[in-house]
Amino acid sequence: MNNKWKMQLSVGLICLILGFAITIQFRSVQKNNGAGTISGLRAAEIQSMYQKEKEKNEALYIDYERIKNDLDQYKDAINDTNATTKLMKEQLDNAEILAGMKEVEGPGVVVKMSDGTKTPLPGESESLYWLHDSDLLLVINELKDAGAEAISVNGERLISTSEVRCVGSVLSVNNVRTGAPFIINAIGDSKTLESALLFKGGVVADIASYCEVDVKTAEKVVVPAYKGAVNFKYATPTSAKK
Amino acid sequence: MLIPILGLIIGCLAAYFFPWNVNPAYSVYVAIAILAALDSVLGGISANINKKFSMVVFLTGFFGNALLAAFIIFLGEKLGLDLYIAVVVVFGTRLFQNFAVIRRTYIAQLSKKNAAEK
Repeated sequence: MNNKWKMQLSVGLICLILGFAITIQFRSVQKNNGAGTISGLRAAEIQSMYQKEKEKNEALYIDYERIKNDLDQYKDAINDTNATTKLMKEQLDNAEILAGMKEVEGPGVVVKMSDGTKTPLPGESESLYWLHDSDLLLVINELKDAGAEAISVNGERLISTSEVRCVGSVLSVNNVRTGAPFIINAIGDSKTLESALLFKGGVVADIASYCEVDVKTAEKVVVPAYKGAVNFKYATPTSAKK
Repeated sequence: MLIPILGLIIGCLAAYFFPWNVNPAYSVYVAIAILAALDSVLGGISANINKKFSMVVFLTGFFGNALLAAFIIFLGEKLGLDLYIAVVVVFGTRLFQNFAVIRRTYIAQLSKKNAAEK
């Protein structure tokens, strides 16, 4: 084999590798970057987004119909005392769920959070890898935003006066102190709750970079009732003063 | 120059029908492999022009450079330092140098031919 053939063959071999690498890299980069960016959205995706908005709109309309129906029922109930008491009972139940006075169950998510296990780099403070109240509040806020109907932290139901706060190295919720790991139970649409937490660049992704977070959906999540008593010393409805 | 072009086409076709994509985490390695291959091809051509081509030098150059580059990138990832920039700069510089050698040689040949025709 003379030198010319050697050159042709070896350059050919490298060219083969070059062509292979370029093509596969081009395809992979296109595939990885194309998803998610607006320009990468195809017409079909935009259409499905439109469809979702339309469905939301329809659901809202159904809600509107239901509320209108309720109003009609109230109007009818004025004439019928029996129906009034029944309605009032229903309302009381709803109000109790809202206020956290009743144990409730339903589909939802269970979020387990614990302190990070990473060793801090030289010069870094250890507390960077501890969970703080702000981390829990972020998760809780995100859950509420995603439509969670009832939330508890380590078995303490969150109500309108509940605090979530660091007290020394432990956490105080409803003035009950508990340590890590923190288990947040939330009832709501489990898919929505899960994706609200897990979306790329979202709350959990952020916290998971320095602490341990585990999100699990569950068919049945139990959120206990608020155990304390609620006494309003200062707040009274404004209409009562009239 | 038929075999290199044929190799390029076969490589492209093979990758086109290749069922897997590159994981984004490793795409920097493939990018470096592309640069190393480009560098080797241009280096090979320029060496051939200067009648200095040696298959052993050429092949060990490609694989050695690619392995060293991969190792440098790996090291950079472990150290939290963007060492791949060093690899890109070196390969990039060599690309332009080799291209310059090829360009000058052909221009010299062309001007000689023109002078001879005149």
